[in-house]
Amino acid sequence: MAKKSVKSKAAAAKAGKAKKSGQRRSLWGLLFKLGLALSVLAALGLVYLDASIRSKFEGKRWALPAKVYARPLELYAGRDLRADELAIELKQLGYRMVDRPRRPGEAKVQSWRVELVSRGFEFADGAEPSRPLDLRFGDGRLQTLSSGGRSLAVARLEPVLVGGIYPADNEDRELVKLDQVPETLVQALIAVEDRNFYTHHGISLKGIARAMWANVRAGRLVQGGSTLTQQLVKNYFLTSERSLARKLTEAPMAMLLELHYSKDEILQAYLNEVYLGQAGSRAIHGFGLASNYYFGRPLDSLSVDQLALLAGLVKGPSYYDPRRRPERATQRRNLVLKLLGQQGLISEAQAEQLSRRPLGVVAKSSLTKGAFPAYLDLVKRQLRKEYRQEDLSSEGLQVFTSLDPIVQRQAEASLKQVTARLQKHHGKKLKGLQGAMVVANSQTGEVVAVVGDREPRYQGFNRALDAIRPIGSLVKPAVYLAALERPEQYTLSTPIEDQPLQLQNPDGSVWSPNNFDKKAHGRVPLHQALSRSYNLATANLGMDQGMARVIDALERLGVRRDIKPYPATLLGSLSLSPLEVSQLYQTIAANGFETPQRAIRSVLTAEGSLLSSYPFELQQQFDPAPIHLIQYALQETVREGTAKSLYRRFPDSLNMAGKTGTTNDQRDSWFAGFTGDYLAVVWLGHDDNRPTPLTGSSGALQVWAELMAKLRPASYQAVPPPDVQYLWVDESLGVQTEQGCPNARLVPYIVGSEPQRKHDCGIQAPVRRASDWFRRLFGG
Amino acid sequence: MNPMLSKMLPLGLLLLLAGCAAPNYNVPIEDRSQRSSTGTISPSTRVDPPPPSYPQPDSPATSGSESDYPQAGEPARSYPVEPIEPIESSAPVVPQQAPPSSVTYAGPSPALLALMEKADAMESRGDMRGALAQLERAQRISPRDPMVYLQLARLRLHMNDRTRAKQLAQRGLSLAGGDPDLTAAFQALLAELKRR
Repeated sequence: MAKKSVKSKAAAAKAGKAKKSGQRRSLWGLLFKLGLALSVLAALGLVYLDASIRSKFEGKRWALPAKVYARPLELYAGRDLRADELAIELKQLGYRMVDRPRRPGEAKVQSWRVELVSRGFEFADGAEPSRPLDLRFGDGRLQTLSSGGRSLAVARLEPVLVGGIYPADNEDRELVKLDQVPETLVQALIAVEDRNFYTHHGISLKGIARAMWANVRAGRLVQGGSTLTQQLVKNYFLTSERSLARKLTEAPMAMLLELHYSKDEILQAYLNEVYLGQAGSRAIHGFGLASNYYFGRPLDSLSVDQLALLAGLVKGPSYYDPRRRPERATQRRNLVLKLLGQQGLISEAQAEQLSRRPLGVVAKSSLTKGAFPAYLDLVKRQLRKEYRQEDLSSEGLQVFTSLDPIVQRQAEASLKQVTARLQKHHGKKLKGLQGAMVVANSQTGEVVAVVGDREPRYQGFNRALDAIRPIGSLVKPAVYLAALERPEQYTLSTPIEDQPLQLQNPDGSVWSPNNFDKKAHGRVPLHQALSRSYNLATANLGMDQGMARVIDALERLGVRRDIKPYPATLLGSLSLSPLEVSQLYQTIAANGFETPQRAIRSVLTAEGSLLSSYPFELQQQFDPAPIHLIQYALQETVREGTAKSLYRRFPDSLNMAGKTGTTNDQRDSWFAGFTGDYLAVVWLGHDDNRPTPLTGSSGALQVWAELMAKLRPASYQAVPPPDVQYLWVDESLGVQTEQGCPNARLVPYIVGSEPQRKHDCGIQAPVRRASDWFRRLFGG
Repeated sequence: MNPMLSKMLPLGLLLLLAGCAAPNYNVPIEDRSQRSSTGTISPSTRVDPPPPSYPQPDSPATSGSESDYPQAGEPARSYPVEPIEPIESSAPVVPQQAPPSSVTYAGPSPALLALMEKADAMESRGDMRGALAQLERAQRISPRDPMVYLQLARLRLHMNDRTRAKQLAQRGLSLAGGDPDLTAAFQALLAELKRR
C-alpha cells in the first residue's frame, strides 16, 4: 500500500512533475519566446536608435547654412567716415580694443585716430592681406590711411557676417570647425565634463563612479556622470520630452555614435550642438554662437578666462547665467580655471591671476544674426530665384551683399525716432503707425538698407517689399516726364491749366479730382505744377497726352506691374511697394538709365570659388535731356514746393531732389528722394489702411530728413546734357529776360524749345534773392 | 604739368587706345603699401587741381585744408544741421563756407586711381572678371566719376560685350557734362562700337 502509495505518490509526483515540467516547459517556452521577441524588439530598437542617431548626426553635420555678409568697409583718404562709425564696424567685427594693436583683430580707437591690425579676407576678387592700418580722422572724414608708415591708397576691412540661411526649423548656428576652436576650450571641456573622453566608448563607468563618489562626499548633486557623447545625444533631443525612455536610450545611443564616428567628429558636433543659453525665445546652441552672444566677438578671439567661463556654462546655462547670476558664473569660471591649473594646462599662478578678472560679458547681446531681417528677406528672395532652398541652407554658400550696416542702423533709428515723435504729437490717431524704408546707392542701384517694420528686429510682415500701397503723387514725375519728352509741345515753362475737370472712368462713372488745398490755381508753369503737386494740372496734362504715353513712361522707369489705363492712375491709384518705388526713382536719379536694384554682389561656394556674380547692369530708357528737366523740377520740389520744409534742416549748398506723396484720406504718407550718393524711399501708414493725420510732407519726409541728417549726404549735382541750356526767363510773359529782372528765373530748356521772344527790363546790376537756388546748379 | 593730370593722361590715352596696344601697366597690386614709388601719387605731392574744364557732377569742391588733394568723387559733406525740433540727431554741426564758385574735374581720387590701375593690370593679364570686380569697387567709391564708366565700357568691349559697353559709354557720357576730352573719348568709343 505504502508502496502503492509511494508508487502512487511517485506517480502522483511524477504526474505532478510531468505536469509541473510541462508547465515549466511552457513557461520556459514562453520566456524564450518572450526573450526572443524582446531581443528582436531590442535589436529592432537598436537599429532604430542607430538610424535615428545617425541621421541626426549626419543631418546636423552637413547642414551648413549659407553665410550672408555685409559689404566690406572700404577705407581711403577723403572718405566720409568718422572714427566712431569705424568703431561700430570694428565692434561688429569683434575687434579687441587694446592699447597697442599688434595681432590681427586688435584695434585702438581715438576720436582723431584709429590704429588696427586687419584680419585679412578672401574676397571673390582676391585676397585682402592682414596688415596694420593707421587711420587719421578730421572734419568728418578719413584724412589719411597708411600701413607700416607708408601711405595706402585703399584698403578694405573684412565684411561683417550679418546672418545665415537656415533650414525650415529656423535654427541658427555659428558653426565652428574643430581646427578653429581654441585648444584651451577643448581642454577645459574635457577637464570639467569628461576626463576620459578620449578613452571611453560612449559611456564611462569610471566617470559615473567618480560622480557618485563626489556626490556622496558633498551630500548633494555636484557632478553628473554623462560623457560628452551622452551630452551630445541629450542635446540632439533636447527639444523633445525628457522622458524615462529617452533617458534609457541615451547610453546605447552614445555607444552607437562612438561606433560610427571618430572622437574628433563627435567633439566637433558637440561644440556646435551644446545648449549654452537663452536669448528670449531663441536657444543659443554651440560655442560659436555663444561666444558672440556673451562676448560679442568670434570664438577664436576669446581669452583663456572667457573660454573657461563658456566651458563652465555647459553645466547649467541658466543657473550660471553670467548676466543674471554673475557671482555664480564667476565661481564656476574660477573652478574651471583651477582645474586647468591643477592639470597643468595653465600655471597655477596664471589661474589665480585670471580668476581675479571681471567676467567681461557684454552688457547686451550684440548678436548680429537676425539683426537685419528685412534686408535678409530681400537677399533670400533674390537667392531663391536661382538656388534651391536645400542648397541655401546646407551647402555653406557665402553670399556677399551690399548691405551697409552703418546706414541700415541709421535708417532704423530714423524711422523709430520720427514715428515715436509723430505719435507723441498726434496721439491715438497714430496708434499702431507703421513704416518702411528702402535706401539704395542713387547711382549704382545697390540696396544698402531695408527697414520693414518700426521694430526692425521683428521678423514679420516686411512692408518694404510686401506693403503694396497706392503711391499717390509719387507717380507724377512719370506724367511730366512723358510730356517733357516732346520738347516741341512741352517745356518746363509751358502753362498748364490747374482747373477743375471731369474724367470718365472705363465703367462710365465720372470722377472729379481735387487739389489738396481744395483750390484751383489757374494757369501755372509746368515745373510749378509738379513741384507743388497740383492734382488738377497733372490730370489735365495727363489727359492731354493720353494714358498710353504715361503708362509707357512708367514702364520704362521700371514699373513691372499691370498699370490700369484709368484716369485715376494719373494721380497715383497705382499701388507699389517701397522697393518698387525705389526702382522707379533710381531711373530718374541715374539720368534715365534703368539700373536693376541689387542686394547681392556675388555668391561663392564654401571653398571660395565663384558661383555667380551680379555685375552692374543698366539700360538707357530715357534721353538725358528730359530727365534733366525732371531732376530740376524735383529739386524745386524740395526747395520751393511741397517738401521745402527740408531746408529748415539743411544748408542751401546741399542739392537734393524728391517728391512727396499722399493718398486719399491721408492713408499713405510717402517720400522718395535722392542726393549725390543715396536714394531713399519712406512709407508711413496703418496696416489696416485707416486714415492718418499725415501728409507726405509732415510724415515720411520727416523720416527721410532725419536719415539724411545722419548720413551727411553728398550734394546732387545734375549734369546738364549738351542739348540742354539754362536761360533766364519771365514765365508770366513767356519771354527770355535778363538776370535780375522782375520774375527772372533760370530754367533749363532742351535746345530749340526755349522761348524765342526776348524782353530786357533794363536793370543793369543783378539783384540776388535768397530763393534763387537754381544758381547753385552751376555753383554760382 | 600737375602731377595728378600727368598721372591721368597715360591712363586716359591707354583707355582710348584699347584694342590697339597692350597695356604696359605692370604694377604690384596686392599690397599698395609697397608701391609708393611705382605709380600712386601720395597726397603730399599733389598740388592744385587743373583749371576748370567742366562742372564735375559729384564735387562741390573741397575747401580749406583739403584742397591740396582733391577727391573727385568724394566731396566735403559737412554742413550745418538745424533740427526742426530738438531731437536726438547724431549728425555733426560743422559750419561750411560759401558754396564754391566753380567746380573742376580734378581727376580720379588716389583710391580710384589705384583701383583703376589694378583693374588695368588684371585686364592685361587676361583676368577680365578680376578687372571687372576692381572697377565695380571703384564705381562704388565714386559712382558719378565718368572715368570709371569709360574704363568699364572699354573692359566690356574687350570682353566682346558690346551691349553693355554701349550702355556704359552712354552713361559715362551723361556724366561727362560736356568736358571736351572725356566727351571725345566716349564718342570715339561709341563710334568704334558702331564700326565693329
